[in-house]
Amino acid sequence: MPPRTVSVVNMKGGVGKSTTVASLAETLAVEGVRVLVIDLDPQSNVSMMLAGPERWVELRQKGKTIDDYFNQFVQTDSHPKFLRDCLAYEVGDVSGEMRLDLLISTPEFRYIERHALEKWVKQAFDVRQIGNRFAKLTQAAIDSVQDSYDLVLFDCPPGISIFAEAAIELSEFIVIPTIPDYISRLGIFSFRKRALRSMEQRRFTEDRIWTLITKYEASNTLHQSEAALLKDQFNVFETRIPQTEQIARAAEWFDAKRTLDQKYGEATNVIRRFAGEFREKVGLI
Amino acid sequence: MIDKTLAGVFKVVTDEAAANPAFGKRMEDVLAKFARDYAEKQVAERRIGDFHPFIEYRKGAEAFEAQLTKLDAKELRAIIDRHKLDPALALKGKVSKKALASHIVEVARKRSERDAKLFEY
Repeated sequence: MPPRTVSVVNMKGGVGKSTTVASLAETLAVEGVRVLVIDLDPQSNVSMMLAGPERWVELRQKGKTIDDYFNQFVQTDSHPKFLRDCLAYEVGDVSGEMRLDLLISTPEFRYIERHALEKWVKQAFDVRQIGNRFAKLTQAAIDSVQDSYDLVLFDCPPGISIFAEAAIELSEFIVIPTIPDYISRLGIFSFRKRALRSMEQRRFTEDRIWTLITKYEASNTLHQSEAALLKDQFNVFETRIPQTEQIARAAEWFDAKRTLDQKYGEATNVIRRFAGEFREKVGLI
Repeated sequence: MIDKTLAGVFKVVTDEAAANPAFGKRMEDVLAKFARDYAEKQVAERRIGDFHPFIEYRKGAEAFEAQLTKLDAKELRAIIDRHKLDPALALKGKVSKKALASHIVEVARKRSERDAKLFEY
């Protein structure tokens, strides 16, 4: 059975996309789900969180990055590569037997998109066709490792890049982390129509697009009010990820392996609850 | 340091309240009014519960207005305070129940129209 493909996306930055991807990937992997994380964000946050800075540098030196993988389709003089040769295996600093792998991103990844645009626009491709081409290339890459994973998670960059569009295009589910305030909510509207159109073209319905409330402060009346409004207007996960020091600290790589409870402290139960809800929604039971 | 200073200030006030009955009575009145206002505000907040003006408005403007007419001024004020519907303090001072309700409807209408446009983004 091919893996479930899920994009974690919001036009707005700082809403907790990478934190959501990292914590969800680790929790599911601990529970026995085989997870591949694909970092589409040149900021490389989830790469740093899951691989750690030293291994990230090492992977870059070895050319095991998303830029190296896609570069072969843009710069014809580069060597052909298989996705499986570009992956970082057994990432994360959480203890236990698990299958959690990663395709890291680097700041240079933004140039791939730029080069692709320059090159393919000259060949009379329009932006939409270039997006479709990347979607097909990404799908083919996933197909090549499909037996190894139950879930592929895309960490999309803020804003809409061609790669983020491609991820939306081929994802079966979309998770939108959102802080319950006015500006973060705007980030949903800005690509919702695009995501809906993509879902409808594949005969999927809106129940595959889910909002996750993040950085929630229970005593903040604005958060209470906006969270209620989000629930009224969109599909929203029951679980709300709170604003806690432990979740923010968990973003920093730790050399010694630790348990999920040690890593996320009091927030572990919330993160597990979200993972449970996520599994139910995407059919990973 | 500050604890000793505050203890000194409170001792001056309590000594004066004990020695000066007129001052003591004025203190009682002020504290009683605060307690009464606070209790009434709490009751109004409890009564409005999870009432969300923007969500209720979306269900239908007329029904929403009808709901508001059933609320008293303190409950309307509680909605305005809870959802920060009067950031420019246009409703400061004594304002009629009708004006409070109209203000809530107007803010909800504008928000709803803005959101409708966002869905077409």
